[in-house]
Amino acid sequence: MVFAAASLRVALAQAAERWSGDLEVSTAGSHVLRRQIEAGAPADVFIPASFAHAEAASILPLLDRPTELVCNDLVLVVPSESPIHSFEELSGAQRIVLGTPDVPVGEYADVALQRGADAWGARWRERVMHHVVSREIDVRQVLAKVTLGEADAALVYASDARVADVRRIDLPTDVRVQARYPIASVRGANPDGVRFARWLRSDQGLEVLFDHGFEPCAVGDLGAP
Amino acid sequence: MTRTVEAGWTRVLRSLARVGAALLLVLIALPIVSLALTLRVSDLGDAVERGLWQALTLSLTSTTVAAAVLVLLGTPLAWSLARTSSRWARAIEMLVRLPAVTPPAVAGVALLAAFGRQGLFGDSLAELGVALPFSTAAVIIAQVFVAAPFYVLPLQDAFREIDEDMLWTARSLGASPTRVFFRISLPLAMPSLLSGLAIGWARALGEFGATLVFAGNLPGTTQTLPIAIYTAMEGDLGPARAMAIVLLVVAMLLFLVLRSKPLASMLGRSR
Repeated sequence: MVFAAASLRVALAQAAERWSGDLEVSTAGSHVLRRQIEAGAPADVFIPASFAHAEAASILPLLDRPTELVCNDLVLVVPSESPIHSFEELSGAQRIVLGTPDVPVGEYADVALQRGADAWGARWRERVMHHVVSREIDVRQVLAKVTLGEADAALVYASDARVADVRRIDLPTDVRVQARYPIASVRGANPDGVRFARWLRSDQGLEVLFDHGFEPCAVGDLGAP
Repeated sequence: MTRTVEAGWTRVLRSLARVGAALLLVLIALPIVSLALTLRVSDLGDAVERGLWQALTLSLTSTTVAAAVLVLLGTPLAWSLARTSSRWARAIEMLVRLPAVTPPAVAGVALLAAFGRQGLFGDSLAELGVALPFSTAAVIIAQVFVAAPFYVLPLQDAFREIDEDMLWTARSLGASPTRVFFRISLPLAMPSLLSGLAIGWARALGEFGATLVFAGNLPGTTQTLPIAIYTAMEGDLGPARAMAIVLLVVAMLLFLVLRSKPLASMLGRSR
C-alpha cells in the first residue's frame, strides 16, 4: 500500500491507473501517515509532503533511503475578478487566509512572507499579517475559503490551485518556495510497492505528477523549513 | 414451580442488565481514563506555550454569551412551542431539531450560505458594515446554532407537562400572564432548563466543525479550545492531550455547577 500526502490524492489515483500492477493508495496529512507507519501500519511506500516527515529520527530507520520525488510550488490564489495580479500586491488584500504554521503549507507561507519582507521591507509583511483572518488546518480548508468567496487571497500548493475555480499567481523567483516531496519504500516492503516507487520516479510516472501541477525541484533547496 | 422459573428469569435478566451497563461504562470510561493516564506534566507547559489560556478564555467567553443567547431567545421559543399545537408548531419543532443531526461541517457551510460574504444575507450585512465570517461573533453564532436543540426541546417538553388548570387558576385569581410565567411556569421547568442548559453549553464548548468552516482559525479571535486542540495535533500529541484534559475538566465543572442542588433550589423556588 502506498501512503501519500493528501495533496497527491488525485495525481496518484491517475498514476495507479497508468501503472499495470495492483495498487492501493491511502492519502492523509503527512504527519498522520507518519504516525501510522511508526505504529506499524502496512505501508510499502511513503510519500510525505516534506522531507521532515521522512528524515525524523523516529521514522528514518523504518525507511529505505528517502529520495527526492517531485516538488510543489507555493502559489497565491485569488478570486478570478480580483484586482490583485502579483504577490507583492498581496499587502493590498483585505482578507488573507493561510495554513497554520503547524502544517507544511502554513510553514511554507511563513517562509514566503519572510522572503517578501526581505524583498519589499518589513512593513510589507506587517501589512499582510495584519490582514490574515485565519490560519487553517489544511490546504483544502485554505483553498475553500477563497472558492467560497470569503477570502480575497490565500497561499496554497500549485497542485491544489489547478482544481479550483480561482486565479493562480506565481511567486517571483527571489521569493519562490517549493515543497519537496521525498519518496521511500518502507523496510520489508512488498516487491510490488518497491517496483511502483521506482516506476513513479521514471519519466512516465513523473509525467503524471507534472500533469497535476507538480514540478521538478528547482536547483537548490527552496524552502524546506 | 412457575414462581421459581420466573425468579430464575428475573435473575438472568438482572445479570444481563448489569453486564450491559458495565460494558457501556467501560466503553465510555476507558478512552477518557487512557487520555488522562498518557498525560505528562511537561505537556501542560507546552500547551500553555501553545496558547492554552488564550483559547480557553475565548471558549469560556464565547460559550457564556452563547448560553445567555440560548436562555434569552430559546426560553420564549420553547414556551411558544409548548403552548401551541398547530401543524406549524410541529414543523418548527422539526426545524429546531435539525442542527442536532446536521454534521458540523455542513452546519458551517450552511451558516456561510446564509451569513457569508457571498451568502443570502451577505449584501445586507455588508451594507450595515457587518462582516461575520472570521469574527468572534461568527464563533458565537455557530455555537448557538448547534446547541439550540439541546436547550429548547427538553425545555419545551417541561413547559408542556405543566398542568394548564393550575395556570388558569392563577390567572383567575388575578395574576398577570407575566407573573404566572415567572412565578409558576419557569420555576416548575427549572430542572429541565438547567439540565438542557448544561448539555447545550457543553455542546457549544465542544463545537468544532461549524466554527472552523464559518469562523476560521485565528488565535485570540476565532481559535476556541477544540480548534486549538486540533491545530496542536498537527505537531506533537502531548500538548493537544493536555488541552483536551483541560477542556474535559472545564466541562465537568460546568455540569457540577449547573446541575447542583443549591442552584436548582435557588432558581426553582418561586419568588
